[in-house]
Amino acid sequence: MRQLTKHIKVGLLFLVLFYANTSLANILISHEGDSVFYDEASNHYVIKYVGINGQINEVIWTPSTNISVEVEAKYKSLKDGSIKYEYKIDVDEDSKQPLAAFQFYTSLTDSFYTNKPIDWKEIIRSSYNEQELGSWINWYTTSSPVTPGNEIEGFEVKVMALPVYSNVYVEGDTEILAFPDYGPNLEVQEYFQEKIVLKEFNGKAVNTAVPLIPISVPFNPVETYTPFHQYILEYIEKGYVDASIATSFKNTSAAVLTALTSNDVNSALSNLKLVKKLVEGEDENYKDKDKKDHDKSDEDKPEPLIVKDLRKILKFNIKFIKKKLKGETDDD
Amino acid sequence: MPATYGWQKPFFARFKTGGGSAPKHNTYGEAYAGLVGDVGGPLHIGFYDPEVKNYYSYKYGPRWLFLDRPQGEPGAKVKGWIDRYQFAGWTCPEGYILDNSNKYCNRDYSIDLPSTEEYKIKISPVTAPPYKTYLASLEPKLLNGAKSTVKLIAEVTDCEDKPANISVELKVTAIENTGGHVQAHHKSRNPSQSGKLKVGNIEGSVVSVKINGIQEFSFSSPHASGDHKIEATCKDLGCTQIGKDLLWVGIKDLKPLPASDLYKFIGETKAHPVNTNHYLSDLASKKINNIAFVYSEDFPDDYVLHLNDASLERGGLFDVSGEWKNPHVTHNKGTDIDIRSNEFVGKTPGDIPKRNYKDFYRISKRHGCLAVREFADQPKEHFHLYCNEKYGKAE
Repeated sequence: MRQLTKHIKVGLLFLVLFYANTSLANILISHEGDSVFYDEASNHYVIKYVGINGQINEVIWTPSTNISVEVEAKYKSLKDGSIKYEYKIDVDEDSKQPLAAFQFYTSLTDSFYTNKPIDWKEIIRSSYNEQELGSWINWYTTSSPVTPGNEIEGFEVKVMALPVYSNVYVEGDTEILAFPDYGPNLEVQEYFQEKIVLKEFNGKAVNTAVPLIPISVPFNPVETYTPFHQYILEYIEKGYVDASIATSFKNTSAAVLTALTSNDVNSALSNLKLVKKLVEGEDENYKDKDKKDHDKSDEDKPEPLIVKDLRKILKFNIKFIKKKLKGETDDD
Repeated sequence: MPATYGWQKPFFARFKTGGGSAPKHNTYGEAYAGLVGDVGGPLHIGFYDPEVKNYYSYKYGPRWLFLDRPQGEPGAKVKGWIDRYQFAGWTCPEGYILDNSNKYCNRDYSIDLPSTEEYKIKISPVTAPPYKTYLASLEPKLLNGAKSTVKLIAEVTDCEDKPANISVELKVTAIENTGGHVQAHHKSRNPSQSGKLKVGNIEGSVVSVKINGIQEFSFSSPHASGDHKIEATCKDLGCTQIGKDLLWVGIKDLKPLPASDLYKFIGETKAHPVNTNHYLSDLASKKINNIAFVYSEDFPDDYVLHLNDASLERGGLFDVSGEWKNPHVTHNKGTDIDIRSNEFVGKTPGDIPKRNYKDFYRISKRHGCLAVREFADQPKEHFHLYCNEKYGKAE
């Protein structure tokens, strides 16, 4: 009995220490009795503050990023020279929130075709950033959030822009933050706005194909390839391309741009072919390795040299630019 | 031919005036004495009244009853200082003219009023660029009590423009009726809502310092916006502060939301009357306008948005009741605004009904504002929109 009591005491001590430790580690800000605490287990924030009548208020806020989804993007070029994007979103079974909003930034400023699922609403607005000339496409639902384990499709946009491997944002359905009075003091409010809300404001970022490279009409290869090349450099910098092919990838793409700038279409095409080979070669290389390693477990398989979705995007863009350079019409 | 003053050290003298045209401030004054060269004989005494910055003269001698008052700032050329005496013979002395009353001989002349000050003090900013007619501009104290401060220097020179070594008192005062705080409807400004000066480790509204040519000091702003005046004076010495002396405290480029059919303004109080409580940054205005447009399109049968307090004309502390304190804490940068949301208020309808809450939240968020319910489920319930400048932009 004495032993049991001792064990209980030790257990309680550890429990107290654990909570004390956790609490201290997760207090994000504390000022004159008002504070914000982050609860890692539930991914919500606890805002504690002294109310206007001196009472202690405790308010829980769950950000709308408490969601887990997969976004599948399909894109194809149309005869009118535009690209049609279709998005399907699977909400993971273990997602803590249903899907309520989906948005992304596109480089397009002019009118463009969009479509959305039933019960979803749409807001298209220009960017608030002066450096961004494009538009934000926002879709949201308040009546039919997509519950975990379900999927939704029907998000479409037809634009004159090639895809880039970039962020789209999804948001889970969450309660609106509500204070019983004005909320915490200025210091805590400012921290809350600047550090916490800002981090999740656009929603949870998911990488997929996003229409971000404008296609000029009539087609101007330099104007189209320049941002494409810039994105290639960005992909390399972000580590989406394996270091073993990064330099040749960068140099070959630069050679395409140089040739296009000097109006040397043949040289541009031959260098573009090399870029394509690098992408496809890597692809096949991965396939070969995949075959050889057939019996190995997933963990033993080699890492792909270029991220899979990015590889698809690169191939699509190369094919599109090549066709335009050759003066071929779109027949996809 | 202007007379020439040879000013001497100041002394104190009693002055007595002789009638209705006499100077108002006529009891005691800090006086400078000197002879007017071409008058000869009687001693003229001029003194500088620091309160009205005018010169008065007092002719001392047989004709002492005849007093006139030339006026002008130190250093100015003043005309119309009449030297007169009572007519006592057939002709006036040479250079004097008998006036219309046939009682006085007058002689007009002008005089270059010399600067009475021996020292000059000039305040200038160290690094901050000048702002309009102000020494500098700075934001009100905002985040986590962190100070918003500007560094200044005080330069002291003597009458020959050489660096001087004297004791100076620096004083800062918030100017009433500035920053959107209308004095008529406010209590006197709380001292804690006035800026502070700091020289070395000494901080306060008034600081005394011995300056040897040049002295760096700083000004830190309070939460409340508004103009602040810095005055520099020298104890027991004549000195003049020259140059700019005002500091501009506030958030720049806030503008009143333009009137629109898409929304209605509410929330005016005695302390902050109509058209004074809806100042926002350009970006926040754009966001609010977009939100109001989409909301009115989506819910054409409901009330348009009823916009309550945003910020005052220069941001900073928004003291709803005019008492220099309030819980309107984040209405200080032209980014936040309150919007009526309780359908049970009753008397003045204009709420966002509860059935529209989620849509309003989404519409706001998609336009770069986070809608938060304040006084949730109570009669004072409203949406507080945080339209932080960084919200709604690509990462």
